[in-house]
Amino acid sequence: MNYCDKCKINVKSGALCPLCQHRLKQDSGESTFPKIPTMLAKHSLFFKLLIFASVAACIICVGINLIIPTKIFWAGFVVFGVTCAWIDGIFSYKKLHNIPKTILYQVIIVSALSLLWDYFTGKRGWSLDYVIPFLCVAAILTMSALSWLAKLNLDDYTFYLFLYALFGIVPILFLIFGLVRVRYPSVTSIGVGILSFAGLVIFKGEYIWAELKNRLHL
Amino acid sequence: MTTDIPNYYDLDNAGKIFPWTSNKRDTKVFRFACELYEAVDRKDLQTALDMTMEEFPLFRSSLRKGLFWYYLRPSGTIPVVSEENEPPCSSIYDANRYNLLFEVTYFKNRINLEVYHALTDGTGALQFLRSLVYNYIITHYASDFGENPPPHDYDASLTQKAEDSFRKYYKKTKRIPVKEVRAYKIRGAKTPHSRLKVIEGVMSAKSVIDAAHSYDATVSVFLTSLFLSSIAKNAPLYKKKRPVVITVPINLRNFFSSQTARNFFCTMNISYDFYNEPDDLKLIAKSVAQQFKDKLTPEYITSRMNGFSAIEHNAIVRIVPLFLKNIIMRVAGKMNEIQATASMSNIGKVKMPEGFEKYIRIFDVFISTTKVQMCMCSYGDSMTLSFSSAFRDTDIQKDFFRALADMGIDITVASNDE
Repeated sequence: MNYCDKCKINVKSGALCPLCQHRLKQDSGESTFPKIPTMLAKHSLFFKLLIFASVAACIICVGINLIIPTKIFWAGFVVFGVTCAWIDGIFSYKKLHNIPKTILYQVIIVSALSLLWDYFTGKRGWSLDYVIPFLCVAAILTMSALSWLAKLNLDDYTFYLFLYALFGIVPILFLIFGLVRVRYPSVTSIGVGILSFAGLVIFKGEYIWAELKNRLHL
Repeated sequence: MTTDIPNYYDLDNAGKIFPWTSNKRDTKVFRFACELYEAVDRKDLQTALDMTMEEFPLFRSSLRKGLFWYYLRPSGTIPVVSEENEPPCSSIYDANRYNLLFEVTYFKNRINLEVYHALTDGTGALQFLRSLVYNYIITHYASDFGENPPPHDYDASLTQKAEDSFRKYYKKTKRIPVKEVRAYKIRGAKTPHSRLKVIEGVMSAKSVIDAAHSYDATVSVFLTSLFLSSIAKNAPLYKKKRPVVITVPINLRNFFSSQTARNFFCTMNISYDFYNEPDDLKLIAKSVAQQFKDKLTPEYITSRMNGFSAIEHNAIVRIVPLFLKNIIMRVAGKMNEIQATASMSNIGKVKMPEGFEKYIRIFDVFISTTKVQMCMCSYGDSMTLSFSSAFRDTDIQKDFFRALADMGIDITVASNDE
């Protein structure tokens, strides 16, 4: 035990008085709290380098394209591509610890971005034809596979599987409104969606009903 | 694979505020610690924790986002004790992990319980820690007790512990209008890495009671007054035009019959105008005592409590989606914050069965804060006054403890920042 004669107070341990930072005579005694090293943001340099490299790539491409003009301004694709990759990356990183949510965000973001790309590059319709239906199928399959393989706590993930099943059925609108030229991806998605929906209702109906009530509780 | 249909606990009224306003700096986590005379044994602590979990099933829940409200959902996660490896009151709630809302850690002689405020308040957490320590002592020192360990006095059924007392005692009544003013704000450099600076002082409870009596005050009034005056001492003169305001939580269990282990508290603000009133501890204590008297009345408390609950029962508020509520509540929280300079919680006397004094040295409390927070509790004759602070400066704490030392009180301080 040390004593700070400025404060007239006993100090349990440490070289300085915690109140007045006066240097104490000896440093002994048991500390009450563990010394915890400050964690510097481990990944921060890596990410800074990555962002810098992305910015540099964009600038170089735009520069080259300006110096050597082409019929299509291809550097625009680079810039938008890099931006999309970052938008997607940031959201995934934020949700890294929640796999079902990561998948949910992926489906939503990639769908939205592919719609944008499709719209601004000639409206060829590939986003509705292929990307969105296959994304939904992929989400349902990944989720089902994960819950089996990784032995995740299924209860926590059932609700998300239910959401993906609903997503999977969405392409039914594409068919009804005649938005697609290629039908088989949408049909596959609807089929897989309805199948998992049926499966969930049959095997986990009560659970999903309870979960819905919790989540929609007013 | 279990197909148990998850039950859910609606968040209680006060708990609803915390998910909205917690962040890395203000984690809304508080720590209760119990320091024993001997080093803590990890295995026995785990056994004690397993036993305690059966008594407090509510603690086995995680916080989920619904479309309109947050809610507590029973979780299958089994809590595991670990050696303390994070600064006090580090964040617990993570929207992306369905983790439990509390942690039990140990370091040398200390058992730490850290709790996210959405789960329970100080009283609820203390009940949990008392059970945990009780179970630990009868496990670790089983040979001292033989067949009949002393009985544990916390007696509440599982339903009583899980009760939402806010809802139970809510009545639509007229609110007493409270005039809140903008309070003096402590400024200064904050601690790096959002770490909380913690300084605790252990002293004889009797000597503090004696000192309080010499000012004709109760311990709560006396320490609040001393805290007010220590803050004022460190305030620049031109800033003193604003009153110094201390938020003091009120344990509603003392006013309404409730054994709940969930949140059940409200707060009152105690202020002193150092610009117009003399800076004399006796006069401060007199004013503080009067404010305690005026505010600790059934009418005032009922009005405060119902004001809290009214928001939740408001039809318009209820149908606003959660993410919008988040934004609104964050703004409201910021506006509320400017009405107080600091806060002080008196946990009071911690009771353990007789004969446990030879194992337990002290109990101790810290609460996360963006300002300066004082907590006090006592066990036997050992009173612990702990400051947690978001600031580097320790002048308020220094003046506070020096004033006590000048009254002849023998104090031993410890800090996490050596």
